[in-house]
Amino acid sequence: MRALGNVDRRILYVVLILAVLYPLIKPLGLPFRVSDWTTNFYKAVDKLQAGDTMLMSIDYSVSGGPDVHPQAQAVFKHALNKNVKVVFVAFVTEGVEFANQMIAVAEKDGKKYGEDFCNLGFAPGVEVAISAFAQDILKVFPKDTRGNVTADLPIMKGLKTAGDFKMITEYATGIPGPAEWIRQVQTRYKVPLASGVVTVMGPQNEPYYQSGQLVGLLSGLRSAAEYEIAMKMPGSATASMDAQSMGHVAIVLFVILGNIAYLSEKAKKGGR
Amino acid sequence: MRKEVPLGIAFATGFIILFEYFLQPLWKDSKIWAQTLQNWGTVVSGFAMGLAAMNLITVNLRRMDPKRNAEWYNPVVLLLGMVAMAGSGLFLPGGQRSASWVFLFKNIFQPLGSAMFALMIFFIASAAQRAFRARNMEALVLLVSGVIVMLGRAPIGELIGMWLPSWADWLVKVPSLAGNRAVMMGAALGMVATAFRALVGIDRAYLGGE
Repeated sequence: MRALGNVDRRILYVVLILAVLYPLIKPLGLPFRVSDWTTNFYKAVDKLQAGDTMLMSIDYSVSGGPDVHPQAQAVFKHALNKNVKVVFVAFVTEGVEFANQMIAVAEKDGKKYGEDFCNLGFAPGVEVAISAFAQDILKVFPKDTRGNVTADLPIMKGLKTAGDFKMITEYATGIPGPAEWIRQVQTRYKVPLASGVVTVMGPQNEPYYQSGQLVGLLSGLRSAAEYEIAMKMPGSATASMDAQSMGHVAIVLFVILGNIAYLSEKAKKGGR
Repeated sequence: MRKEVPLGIAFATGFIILFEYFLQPLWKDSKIWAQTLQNWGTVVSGFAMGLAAMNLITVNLRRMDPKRNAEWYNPVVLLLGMVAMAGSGLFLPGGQRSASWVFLFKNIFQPLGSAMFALMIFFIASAAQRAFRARNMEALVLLVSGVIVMLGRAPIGELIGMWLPSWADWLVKVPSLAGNRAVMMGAALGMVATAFRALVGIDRAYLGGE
């Protein structure tokens, strides 16, 4: 039993790799439900009319990208399908390129830069920058990432403050996150705000969701998969759900084995 | 004067921003003042990033000496990466949309970042097996809750039984929420108190020194 509690960590790593790899090679097709967090996010975007403009703030780092980027991709796809216009901004440096990657895919599908979407770029200063942007978009971003004068872009017509967007969605792996957007934008401009965050941040932001300050909440890759299911367009996030399940099962098994070893050792020592 | 001037600037800045947020109708021009200050804030942050880059270069140039640092190759790799990314973004035609910069981001920076994040799972697995033990009642409650949430929030949980996702949801939406809310409210009150102390000059830690 002692050996069970002191398994070589390399064995654990191999078991974990196999548990994750197997369903990627041979999908299990485990069904899953769509949570109320995702359902309400989806409904809020779905309620937008063709021609409405939505802001997408891409505030995640490359390290958290695999968990959050699929969420942003799914929401962007949903918006474009409904002919909702999308303005991208970033308050984290990497956000600019993540937005460019999504735009590149949409341009291949025939959507037009400047009319259907645009990328305003990055502004430093985190919460101060968000507040400045919310008060005067053109002052913080006089030019977009392609060097166009922001005011001249057809999509920017009538957009002066954050209050002019029909909806704001924000994707984060840390700071800035939902709290900063709620403090500086949602409370002041009363625009519906929904947020996509890395898995560990989901429960932390539940209070904002229950208070109605967030109309929807996406938490990690699982939520991205749920969003794809809600759109009836399963994609890469849905395909990775089996691997995530098996990873969770492997870790729970490790915990159980560790505890069996611990309790049997304890019993041997007379409960001490 | 070395302390009074910065304290005065901090007070005036904080006062204008607060006034604009809560009492704008009483002083209409406060909006223009606050907006200007916030725009300055983004400019100063931009300079801070430049300063951080300079600091990184200075520190790592010193660490490149093989006589003083056995792992001198680490700062070399760091600085080469920095020069390659910054150089291609700043000097190549197209800047951050140039093929070279996009290539570096997509094929080096992005996979490396993802790999670092993914590697955490191995540490979590190893730590879970060795340290996540039911040593007492509190640890047992934590252990059971953790297992329920881990399984209940993955598709496998629904295969085990629909009760599992419901229990996981309850744990997140009731006890976890209550704890989070208490922490958030406590932190918010603390932030207000700290901001007030800084504004009126009681807390001077941001000036450096004692």
